[in-house]
Amino acid sequence: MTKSVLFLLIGIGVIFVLYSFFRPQPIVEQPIDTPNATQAPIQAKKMSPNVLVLENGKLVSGPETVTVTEGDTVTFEITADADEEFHLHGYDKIVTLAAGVTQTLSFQADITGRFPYELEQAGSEIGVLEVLPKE
Amino acid sequence: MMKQILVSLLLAVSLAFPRPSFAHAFGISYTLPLPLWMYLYGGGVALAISFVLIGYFFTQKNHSLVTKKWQLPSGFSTVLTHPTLIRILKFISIALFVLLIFSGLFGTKQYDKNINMTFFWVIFVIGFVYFCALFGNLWSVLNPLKLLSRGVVQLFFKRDKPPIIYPEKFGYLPAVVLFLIFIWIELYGQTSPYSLSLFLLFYFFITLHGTILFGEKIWFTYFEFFSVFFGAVSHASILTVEKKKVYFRVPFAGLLTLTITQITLLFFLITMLAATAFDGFRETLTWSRFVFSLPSVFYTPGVLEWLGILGTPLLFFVLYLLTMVLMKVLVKSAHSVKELALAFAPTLIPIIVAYHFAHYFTLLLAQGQYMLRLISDPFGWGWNLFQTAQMPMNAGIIGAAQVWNMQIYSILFGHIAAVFLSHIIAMQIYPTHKKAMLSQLPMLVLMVGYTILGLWLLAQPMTTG
Repeated sequence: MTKSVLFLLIGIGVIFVLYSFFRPQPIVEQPIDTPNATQAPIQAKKMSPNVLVLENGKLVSGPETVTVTEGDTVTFEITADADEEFHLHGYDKIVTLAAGVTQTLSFQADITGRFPYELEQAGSEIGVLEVLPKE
Repeated sequence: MMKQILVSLLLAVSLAFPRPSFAHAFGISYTLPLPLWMYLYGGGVALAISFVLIGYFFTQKNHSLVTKKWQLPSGFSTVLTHPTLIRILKFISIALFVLLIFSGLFGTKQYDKNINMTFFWVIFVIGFVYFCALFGNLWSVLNPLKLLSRGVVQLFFKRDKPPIIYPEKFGYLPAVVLFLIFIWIELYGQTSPYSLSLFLLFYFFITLHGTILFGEKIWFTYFEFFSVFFGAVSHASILTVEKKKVYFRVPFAGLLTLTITQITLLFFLITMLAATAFDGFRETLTWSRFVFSLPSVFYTPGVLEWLGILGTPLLFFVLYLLTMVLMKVLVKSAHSVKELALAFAPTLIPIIVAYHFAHYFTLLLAQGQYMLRLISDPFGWGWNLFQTAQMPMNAGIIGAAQVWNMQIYSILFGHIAAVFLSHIIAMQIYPTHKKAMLSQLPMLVLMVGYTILGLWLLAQPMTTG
């Protein structure tokens, strides 16, 4: 029985060593002008707006994938050529669009994951918001 | 009587499957691809732990823990096996089945507002699979198709023996075929609440006719693919019932009691694994690029779909057989390749369960929550029976980092269980310890291969849609 326990401990040890080896080191940003200050954590950023232009239910201008880090503020500026409903899954944000009128959607990305956004009337998926964990 | 059966069968077949127009498959899981470092870490662990296990088996010859059972306190056994409880559960099962059909036929056409889509594709196809993998084959007891068919046969078709004798040499092939059709429906059928109800009704008709023609035992062994599926994964369960007593055992230990004698069942298991693998693969950029590079003749509707659905199990089967051939060549024992293939077939099941969990559990968490809303408004008519119809859904119920951890550790757990099980089987079938250990080298390559593939699939960037 003790041999089994020994092997179990070896196994756990192996997993632990591999984890420490493969895990990327956390990045910290040092404030440049205060060398004696303690390391500051990564600041949540307010990202520049993602401008989406939609025609006939398709994305003609703007990113298909928006990638941010947890805690960042995300902004979308959406214009469609027809009356539409923009729906961001997961966050369940709905923006009613009138033809030709630009609407702005801004929120803090506090849930991590991969969230598609689509136009409800056309039934088409136009892109994806990826919110990466802070790690 | 046969004529009447055939006529009604044809009527059932003539039900059309309308294709709805919404763009994406049912259920969204918000899963991010596995980061590269986690993929490498997972692969590294799989390899390293496999060697630790080899070392363990080299020195340890007694594995009684794996065959041990611990009886639950008699109070639990009495409650869990109580006939009244089982009768109630059977009633609920039939009632749910009827509800799913009615809500699809008469309820809202919006797929996320109708209870049948979420209940069938998420709670049943995903959740109930995990429930049975953990606690045992409740499907064989509660299968509404079986209960209803049995009722009809006992009322109208009572006879000494069924009219058609099934040639058992065909084995599980009917289940394999029906399962492949189901996979197509799952991946490409774009079911709506309405078409899902039609599918369920149609499948019930086939089951009923099959039970009448071949008898319940044959039909639910070789034809009803959910029964084969649940039967396979239930061998992983930690609970087992013997003579109305409930026992607790080590997870996956039940696989040691599973003796597979038919190649067709091995093929069904391979198809189970291949189905999950292909579902993951077709969402990757690699598949998209592959599709793009093909000549346009492949773009005929259905060609690529069936290429994937049939090609993946065939590929996995070939790789598995190759491993068995290698094993025979290496060990030079009296066992034929077929005998080896059947003996080691149970080792596929931990990998099947692990792959399935890693790919689908997030969908269960994200979409399964909607059940809380749907019980208040099953038909999507604006009801609010339990005041939960507008309950907020929590997309962040589990963060991306936790998802990744659960994914790699479930794949690794399946891998370790499979390697462990494979060693024990080897020691059972080979005359010497040395031969048993030698036989595990090709097995190791196969298992590490499956694990790396499983992790790779999870790490791939996804195409939108």
